[in-house]
Amino acid sequence: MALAPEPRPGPAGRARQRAFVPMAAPALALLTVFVLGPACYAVWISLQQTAGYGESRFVGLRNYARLLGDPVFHTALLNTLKLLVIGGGVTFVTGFALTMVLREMRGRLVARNILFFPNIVSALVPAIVAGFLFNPDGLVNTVLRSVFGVSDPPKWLAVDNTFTLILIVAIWAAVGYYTTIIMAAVDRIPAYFYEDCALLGATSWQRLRHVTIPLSWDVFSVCALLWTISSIKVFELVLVFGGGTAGTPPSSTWTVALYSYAATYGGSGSPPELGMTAASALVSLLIAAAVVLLLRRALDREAVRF
Amino acid sequence: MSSSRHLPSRRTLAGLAAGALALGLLTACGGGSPDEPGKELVYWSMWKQGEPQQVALQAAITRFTRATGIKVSVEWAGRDVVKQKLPAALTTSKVPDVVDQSDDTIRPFMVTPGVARGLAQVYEADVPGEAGKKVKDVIPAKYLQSPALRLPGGEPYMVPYSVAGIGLFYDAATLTEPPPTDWNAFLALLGRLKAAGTAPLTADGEQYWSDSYWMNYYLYRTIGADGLKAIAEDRTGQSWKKPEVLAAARQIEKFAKEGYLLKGYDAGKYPEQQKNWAQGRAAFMIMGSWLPSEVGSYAKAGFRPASMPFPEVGGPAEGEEVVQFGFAMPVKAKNVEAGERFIAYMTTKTFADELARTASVLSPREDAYVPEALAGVKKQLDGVPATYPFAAGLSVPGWTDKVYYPTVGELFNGKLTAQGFVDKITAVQAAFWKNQGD
Repeated sequence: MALAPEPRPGPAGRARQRAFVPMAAPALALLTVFVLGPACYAVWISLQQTAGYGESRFVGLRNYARLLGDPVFHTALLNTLKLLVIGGGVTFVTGFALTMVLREMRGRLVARNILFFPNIVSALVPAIVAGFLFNPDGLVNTVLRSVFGVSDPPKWLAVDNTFTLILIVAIWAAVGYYTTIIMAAVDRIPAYFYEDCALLGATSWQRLRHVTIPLSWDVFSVCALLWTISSIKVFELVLVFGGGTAGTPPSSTWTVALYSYAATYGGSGSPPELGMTAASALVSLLIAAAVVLLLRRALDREAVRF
Repeated sequence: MSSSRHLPSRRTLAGLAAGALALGLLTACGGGSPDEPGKELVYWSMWKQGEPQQVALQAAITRFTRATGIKVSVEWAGRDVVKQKLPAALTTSKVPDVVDQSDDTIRPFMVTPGVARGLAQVYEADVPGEAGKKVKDVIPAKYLQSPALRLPGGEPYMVPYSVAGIGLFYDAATLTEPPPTDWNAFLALLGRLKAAGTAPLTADGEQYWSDSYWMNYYLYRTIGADGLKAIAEDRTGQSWKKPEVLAAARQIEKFAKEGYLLKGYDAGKYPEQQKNWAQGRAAFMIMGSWLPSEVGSYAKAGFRPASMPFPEVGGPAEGEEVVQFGFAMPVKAKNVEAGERFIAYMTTKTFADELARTASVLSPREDAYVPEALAGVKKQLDGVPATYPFAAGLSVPGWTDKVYYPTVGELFNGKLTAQGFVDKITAVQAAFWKNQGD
């Protein structure tokens, strides 16, 4: 432990200390007005029965109690976790696999661009294309019927399959994005590590395990955090897949974000409950924070310097 | 003749400058506030530039300004006007004087939070250019009689300019026999159609709200809209065990079981089945009276949409579900008188005809033009003494999404039997209400 007294700040240090408040104040003020203030207001709203305007009533923690007891919220939570865990797992396994293949491939830049493409298009596009492909008389069933002679092709777009389809599209859109980031990290790894591997006769699995993953670990853990945050926010995919323009999607396909939306803008004639929206948004914030903390714990390794 | 006489004096200049400044301040403060009170109003519309309704409304607004000198600053804001734009504005001082939307949006977003203004005055106003007629004479009482269309004090909060009924739509070019009026004859027709190789029905099965029209209407015809509302408000859920519910469920159960629905109805993406119907792949589709104009662009050649009312099922209840589109005013509106004059002006026959013709909708006015495809719905609405919103304007947050739609959807899609439906919805509703607390 350092026992020596802290060195007294010199004149420059004192000037810096004096300058701290005026320099930081504008940023702090903006942060308070635009981030902290609204966040605190959301906490306050979550304790009310209100539309957000007009009449309101203080109800304490009742909105939270209703959330925790609502089977629809449980489904929404489960769907969000499916996106987070299954979606994340498949995305990263595919991402690493593609990286391995692409690293040694010719025309990898072109391949990389093609992979990245789904990330650019809006979620609306896959939803529309899915209609075109998977409608009862869509392309897929037409091919199944005429080429493979399937007389009773599956009901791809039935409500029971909607969430699986959403999951697949979410993965499809994310794989390219994360592969691009992981590839950039892998590209930094000096070639001599791989040359060493070749000399030692390492298999590609051993290369991945002992070189690629450890040396791109820090980038991977950032990607995992990004995925966590974005998967908890998945919303428009569900809305577009299940609802179209007409109504709220079936409640079995809701995510927590959609639950928040539906509490205020849900079913016909249903009065808005901004208190429930705020409560469920705050719950999803808590979940995101918890998962991020756990992930940071789990993924925290000393970065390998090279 | 000195040149100085033609030059403005210093005093005049100062006066002018002060005047200009004052004028500038005036316009700057009010964001275009009126030079004269009552000569301007702000209207935010649910329609977007270029939609047929917008075209008709814009023409009427131009006439209104010419006739009254009141300038209307209008924003064609689109469908979120009352759900999102108005709530945000209500916390500021820039509040519109008039908005328009469907009653099932105005009720939850303006009436329940207590921000809708009573419009009794408008109903007492004269209809411009129609001697001796007041607004209350041209908007039939049946569109106002439901308590859900009045403020807690009893005053109406909305003046409709178009109404949508729910009908069983079919192609009059294909189905030439007179449509059946009672349920058994209707089922017999479905059976004959199926035997002849035509799918009798279709529906966008995964859109549970549209499947539920069958249950809504069957119950309206037996226990009435108030009856459905009472069931929904029963905290024990036991009201679902009424024999009328099981009877309705038994009939709806038949659709999937007997194969009356077009194959793939439960696995399409909305509005795929509307297209199929307009292409003649299925005979009937139950929907709001917006259906014919929605399918206009993809209907097969020679398609002549028409509709019949939901058949009689032997129950006592009368009346029709109607969605009304119309004007409302927020409590915080500033130009109240101008707003009220504007709304009254929009009840003229001229506007009613023009809107019905341009947008293919029904006017609440009984003497207005009726588009051919909606003649059936018009007849259906003319014949009843009362109309009501869905479930008589039930106002329970989340009930449709969490209790009603998913369970009715499962019955309709053949995943629940009639008895299974009754058991499940009883339990789901009891749990729903228990969780709501007090």
